[in-house]
Amino acid sequence: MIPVAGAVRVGDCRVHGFRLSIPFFLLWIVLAVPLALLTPFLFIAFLCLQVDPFEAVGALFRLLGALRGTQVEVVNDSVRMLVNIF
Amino acid sequence: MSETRRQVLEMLAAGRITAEEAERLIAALERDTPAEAETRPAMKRKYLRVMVDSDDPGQGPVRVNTRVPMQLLRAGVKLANLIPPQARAQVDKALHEQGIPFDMSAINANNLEEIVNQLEDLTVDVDVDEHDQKVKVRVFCE
Repeated sequence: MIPVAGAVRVGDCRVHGFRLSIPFFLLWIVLAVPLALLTPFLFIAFLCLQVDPFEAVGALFRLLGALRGTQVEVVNDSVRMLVNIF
Repeated sequence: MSETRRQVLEMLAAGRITAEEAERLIAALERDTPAEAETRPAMKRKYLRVMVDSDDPGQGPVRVNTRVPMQLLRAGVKLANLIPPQARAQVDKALHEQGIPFDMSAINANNLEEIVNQLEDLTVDVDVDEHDQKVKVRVFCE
């Protein structure tokens, strides 16, 4: 299943930080319409590149789905940043 | 992971032995201790974790902690398999020019699982302490 949300947490060591939630599912809904319109062109482009379009779309969805659980944390003297993908 | 296996990986990370030598040593260890391998519970590790601790006098201490799902590696390799052969040749050539003798076509669906399974047993610890700069890198699966 593709990621439905993400969270970015930025904190300062001295004062309280903030947390920003990113609702990816809204992004997917917004992108669904242009992607549907572009599908025939993408299909032709994949065929021109000798790539199986169904396999390519499947691999892309697998890649997106595999992003769930990714976490990146960077901490230095003054700032702590945490990115989570759910 | 056994202590001897860890020592072999540390020697590899330190550059004292080559990858082929490490592979031979690990294979010899596995031959010597088949019971350990058989009794070890089959634990599927889900994430590859990369931890970097750096203490630079100019920048101060910096810690980077990354958790990447193993599934992402599988998906990435499968996506890489879709690269057209002519583009793949160009990628291989560019890697060779950078001193990385890597053949992308060598990774396919057949040996992908084997690679990921081997990664699950991987632990790399690198400690650098020179010119007042300390860097510690840990790569392992969890």
